[in-house]
Amino acid sequence: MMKSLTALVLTAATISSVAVSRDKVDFSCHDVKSMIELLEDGPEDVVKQVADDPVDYRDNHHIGVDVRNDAPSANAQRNNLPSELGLLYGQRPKHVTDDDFATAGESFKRGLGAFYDCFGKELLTETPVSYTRTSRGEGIIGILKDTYKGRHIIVQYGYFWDSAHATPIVWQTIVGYGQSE
Amino acid sequence: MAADLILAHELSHVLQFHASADFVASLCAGTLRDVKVYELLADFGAGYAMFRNGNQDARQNFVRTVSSLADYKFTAVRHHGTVTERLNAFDMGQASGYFGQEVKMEALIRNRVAFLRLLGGPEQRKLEAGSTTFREFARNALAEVYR
Repeated sequence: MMKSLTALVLTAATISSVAVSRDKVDFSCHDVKSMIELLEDGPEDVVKQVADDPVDYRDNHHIGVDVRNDAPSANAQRNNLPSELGLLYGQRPKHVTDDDFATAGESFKRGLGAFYDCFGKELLTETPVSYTRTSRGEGIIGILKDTYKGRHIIVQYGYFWDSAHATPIVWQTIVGYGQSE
Repeated sequence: MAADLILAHELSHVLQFHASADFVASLCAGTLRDVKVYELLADFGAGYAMFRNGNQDARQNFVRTVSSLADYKFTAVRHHGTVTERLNAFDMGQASGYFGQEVKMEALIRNRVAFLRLLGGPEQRKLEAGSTTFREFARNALAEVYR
């Protein structure tokens, strides 16, 4: 079981069925840094702590977080590593309006400030993420100076909406291993 | 530092005054409708100026500054662009400096529709497939907006 899981992308996620609260939308430095600490211990530790006992992990680390195994991405297959951990929050599916995006955008502005307060000079570089090809939203992906075996830790924060699948506006914070240097 | 960025942004508007009589006329007449693209082109100019000045801390300062100035009033005439649109414009200006291409505001205004489209960045699928890189995308994007 463990062996097969190491080839998978592991995503710790929660899609809340209730209206999203402001604190879940806001960028949480504490939660993200705890995920980074886990990644810095290596992928085997990620698998052990998250996949081995997801209920315990959920209850003792990130309240309300659910564990899900996704099909491995091409990147994950190549690396044979669990490539990322993430926190996702979303509202129940509904008709999303421009006003909802305006509200999300204002939240993102606040979150971006918290993102930089959180990482500051720990960031090697960062770039905006656009979701315009398949959905609507915005985000930022940062590459941290911290590494695990020559791979920089990456952090992505933002929100998106997939019009094709009528999803809610989903907020995501993902930490993962970057490409090797 | 924020003052340097704002000054570079505003000086880019001066370049726009010199580059486009139509822009000046519509601005003076109060009929300018595509405010956003001119604001983003000024962010482009600020990115170029900050790169040429060799200020490595400019980006985080810009992000913090622009985060407070960006807006999400999508349908308002005076909409200045979202956070990521403004960051992408700033980055494209930095790329122009990196590739040693001086700001050609007249061409940028002429090709503003392409400029807005290219702010979206490279397709994620192409990046993941390795069929393009940020560097290649930036070089091609600049060639298109400076045409």
